[in-house]
Amino acid sequence: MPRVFSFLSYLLLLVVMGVALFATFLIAPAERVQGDVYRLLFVHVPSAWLAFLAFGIVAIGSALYLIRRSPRWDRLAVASAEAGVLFTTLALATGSIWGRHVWGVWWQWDPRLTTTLVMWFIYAGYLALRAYIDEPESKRRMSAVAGIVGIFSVPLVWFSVEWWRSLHPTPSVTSPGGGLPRDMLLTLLLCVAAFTVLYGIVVRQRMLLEQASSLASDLTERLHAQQERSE
Amino acid sequence: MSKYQPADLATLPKDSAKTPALTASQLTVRRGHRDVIRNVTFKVQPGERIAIIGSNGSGKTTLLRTIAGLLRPRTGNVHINGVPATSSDSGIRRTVGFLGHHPHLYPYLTARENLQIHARLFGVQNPALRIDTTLSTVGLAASADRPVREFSRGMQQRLGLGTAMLHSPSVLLLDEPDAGLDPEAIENLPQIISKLCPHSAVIFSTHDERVVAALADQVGKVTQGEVSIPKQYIQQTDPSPAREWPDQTGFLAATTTLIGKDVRTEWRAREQVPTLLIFTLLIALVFDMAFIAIVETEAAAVATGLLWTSVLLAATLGGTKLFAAEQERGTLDGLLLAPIDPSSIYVAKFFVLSIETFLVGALQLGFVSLLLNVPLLQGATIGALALSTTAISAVITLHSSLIINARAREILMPLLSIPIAIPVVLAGVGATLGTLEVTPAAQQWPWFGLLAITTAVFLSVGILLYPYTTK
Repeated sequence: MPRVFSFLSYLLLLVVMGVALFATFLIAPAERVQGDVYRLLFVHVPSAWLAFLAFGIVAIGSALYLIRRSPRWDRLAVASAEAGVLFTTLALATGSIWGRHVWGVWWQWDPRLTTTLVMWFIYAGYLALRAYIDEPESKRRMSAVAGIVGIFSVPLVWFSVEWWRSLHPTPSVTSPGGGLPRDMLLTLLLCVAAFTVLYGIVVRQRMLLEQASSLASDLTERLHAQQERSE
Repeated sequence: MSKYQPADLATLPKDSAKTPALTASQLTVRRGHRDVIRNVTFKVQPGERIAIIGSNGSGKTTLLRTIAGLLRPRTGNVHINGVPATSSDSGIRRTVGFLGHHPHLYPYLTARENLQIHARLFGVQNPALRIDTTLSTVGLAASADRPVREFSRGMQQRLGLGTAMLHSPSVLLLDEPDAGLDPEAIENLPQIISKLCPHSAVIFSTHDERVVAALADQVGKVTQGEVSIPKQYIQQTDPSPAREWPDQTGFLAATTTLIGKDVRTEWRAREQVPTLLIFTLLIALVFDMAFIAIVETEAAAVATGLLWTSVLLAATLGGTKLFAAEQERGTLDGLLLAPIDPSSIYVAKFFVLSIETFLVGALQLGFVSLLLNVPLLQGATIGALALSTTAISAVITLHSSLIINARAREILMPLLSIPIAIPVVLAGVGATLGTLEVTPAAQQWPWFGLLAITTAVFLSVGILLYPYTTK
């Protein structure tokens, strides 16, 4: 059954990613002022949204771990944190390339950019914390607290364009009146769907890897214990 | 603060007269990926003394630490006087005395001061008399007012024994109580216990057969995490009715005791504040040199930036050892075993870091004023400093509590704290520039608001989550 599920999820990813790429390059028209470089939007926006979703899941997984103390919630948190850092990196990189073309610079100390970079550092810190604690149970507890604290950065990034004067474009989908033409909006939504499926697969695979790693450590310990007893 | 009196066996309620002092049921404890203790079940009546023996690494210490409440069992439970030891109400810890591998002692405080702190946290009645009795019983009356750092290993062990027994616990757990003691002190061990804790159930681990012969009624052997113990000690019934459930020590009393302890230690050791001060002055000098091109024209901006950067770095450095120092000395275990709300440990650490950071920041304020000729020494700026150092301390205390078991804490601390403290630094700079009239006064109030909110949020989150980080 898990194999069938894996096969179907990869198939779904292939289809939805293929359609999203098709829409990105062949359906969405070139932008009047920016030309083709605006197409980075179809990677940049879904990456940023998925990063928010991923960090939200980190907080939920962390809170559930502290309440239930079941390692699977910790696995969910760490898998989601890694995916979140990956998507944030992608959002920062695509944003920087777009900025170079439109603003003429690779980086601006703009509130949205700065807060996103801060968010990246916070979750990089979360992963570093896990790497520096050896005892598994202690690692889970401490990183769960860090995973809950980190969520404060998400609203800071989201509302930064409203709270401070920012060069960064305001949300064009959620703002009243929209702003994106129909084909562009449809393509963007397709890309969001494709990235969401990708996120789900990455998180599931990472959770399975974490479970396998934990199982391997358990078996090694049991083997050592048996060897000690037989001696 | 409630005053706890050790239970007099004759006055206990009828239905609880046969309640064992300690019951452990189906106890399994996992450390790392291994079950160090497996399915251990036993009971101990008041006044009974059991020796736990076994080779190194067999699980003796883990068993005692789990009974003490320092480790959370994977399965099973422990009842002390019929009360679940894992209860969220820490009052139950008033009935347990524990001596670990390292006595829970503060080296810069005297033997008497160490016992006074313990007495306050455990709400001991007539503390002065009890402390004098304890000191003379363990043979330290003559050294009572000497700092513990001057004690030999054996003297520290004797004081550790006295500390574990000071509050007359119902259950006394001693992990190798003979470690470091001279032969005469080992011989006196039964008398010490009989005098200070005559009715206590005692469970102790040792490698010394003489100690077993002198002290134990029965012997339990730990082998590969399994305990073999005489039949009559195996718990077969459900936990019996609870005796009186003791109260925990009041939050305010515990917090002020812990703040007093840390302030006194810093006053004597002078480890944190002078070092951090020199560190911040060094940063001021480096910044002054680095920004020499704009120091004349942008003095106020450079001064505020310099002030907040150096204060943040100093607080980060100071926060690295905030909890870790207690962990390294073994005294954090001592605090977690006290019948206090763990949040009081957290709040005390937050206050101490706030005081230290404010002191360093205030002196830096004066230094930067002189160095850059900017009028930073004024009431509003000091107010901004107080609020900002509090906010920075709230962020750093939280992260300091997370890194106690981590490697490379010096790297982790800035990595975790600085990104979250960036809004605080921005707010500190904004508020300070407002006081210097570089920006209109009206624009500085939102910064003060942001600082107050940050403090409130991080302090609340830290207090709420700290108990989860302890076990």
